[in-house]
Amino acid sequence: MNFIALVCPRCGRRLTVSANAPRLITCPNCLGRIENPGPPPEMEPIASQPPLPVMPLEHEASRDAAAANAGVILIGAVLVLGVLMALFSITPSARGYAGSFLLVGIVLAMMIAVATVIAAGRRVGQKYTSREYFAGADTLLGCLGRAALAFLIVIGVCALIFLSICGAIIFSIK
Amino acid sequence: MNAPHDDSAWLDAARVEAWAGEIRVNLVRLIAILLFYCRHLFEVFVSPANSPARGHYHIVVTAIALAWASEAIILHVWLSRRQFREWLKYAAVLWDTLMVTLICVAAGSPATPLALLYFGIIASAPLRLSLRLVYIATAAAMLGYLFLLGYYAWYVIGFHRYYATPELRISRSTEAITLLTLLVCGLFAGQVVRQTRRIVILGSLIRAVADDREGEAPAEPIPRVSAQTARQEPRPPRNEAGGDR
Repeated sequence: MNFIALVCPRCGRRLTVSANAPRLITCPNCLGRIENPGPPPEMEPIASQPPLPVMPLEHEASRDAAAANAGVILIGAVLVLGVLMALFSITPSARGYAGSFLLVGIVLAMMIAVATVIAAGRRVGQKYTSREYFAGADTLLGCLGRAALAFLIVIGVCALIFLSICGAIIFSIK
Repeated sequence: MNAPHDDSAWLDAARVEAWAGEIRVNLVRLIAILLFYCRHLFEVFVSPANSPARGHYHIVVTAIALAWASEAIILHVWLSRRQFREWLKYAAVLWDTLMVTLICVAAGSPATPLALLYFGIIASAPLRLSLRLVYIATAAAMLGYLFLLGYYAWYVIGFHRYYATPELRISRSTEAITLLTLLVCGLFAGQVVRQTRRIVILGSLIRAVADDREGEAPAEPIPRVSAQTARQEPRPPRNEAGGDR
């Protein structure tokens, strides 16, 4: 059987792939994307039965990630609608205030977690080039990161203003 | 050049396919959260003002949906960057189980149809091609259901009232059948992983035999799968992969 020797451009591992392997393959070591140039012209063609038509993994993963991009945007929109509905439906009672605090706390925690993950990945993953991302994922993640950061800055500024006003009132009373 | 035909064929295939499986599971998770939450919002829209679907229940459901969606978004970030650490799949399954348990707690009873989501968690485990993950998903689902039973009997209803009022009780047979069904579902999921492992190792052995025969006599036609046939050569003494493994 004919095999081609390849080197992963991301981690440097040496790989052997079948001559029947698809053009884009995934490194089993670092999951990096590797372009398979195909068999060299001097390699004799395979005379046996042709390969079964199976969807290459890289293509499937890329398609799923692109669909997930759309899913993230959709779910974000629906959740914003749900949060607004919840905030407007809060009744002036202890239970209602507890619910609003729970909701705001979870929204904040979610924003902080997503922003941290995106920022940490950027800092640690300097070696990753944009071709390592799936199509559209880099742009979406960038937008998400910036939106989360802007939201946190706005919340932080509001908290500072609120604390300053509270402090001023307390001092003026004293 | 002959391909090595030992257990490494399975390890290589499982690593890459587990990553692709996690991406698929995450996509299904996002779609499921979207569909279930849209159904809930529709119910809130059409229900009257004093309906139990509104008010505090809606706030709790929204909070759970937010927490679950944040898991999906964080996983999407990591998987899109091809960062797939060993513990990620366990964390995802445990978080999913926690979210299902919380949503059932919000619904108030283990008799809620939302408890069926435990089966979805077990069904998602074999896509990561890890037998240990299937065991953990099954155990977590069973523990989650047991927690629901305890929460309902001892907290929502109250210990004495629950055992004194037959109408409020969930029958032992219902509890046992649900738990056994979760267990059987886990066994089937584990068998999927075992058979996949056997197929991969057997395929590797058949290819290796065909390679050995290639120079001697015309080999019998062997179907070759063109999906992902990359094999790692023996690992160098120092890992230069960048720590994503």
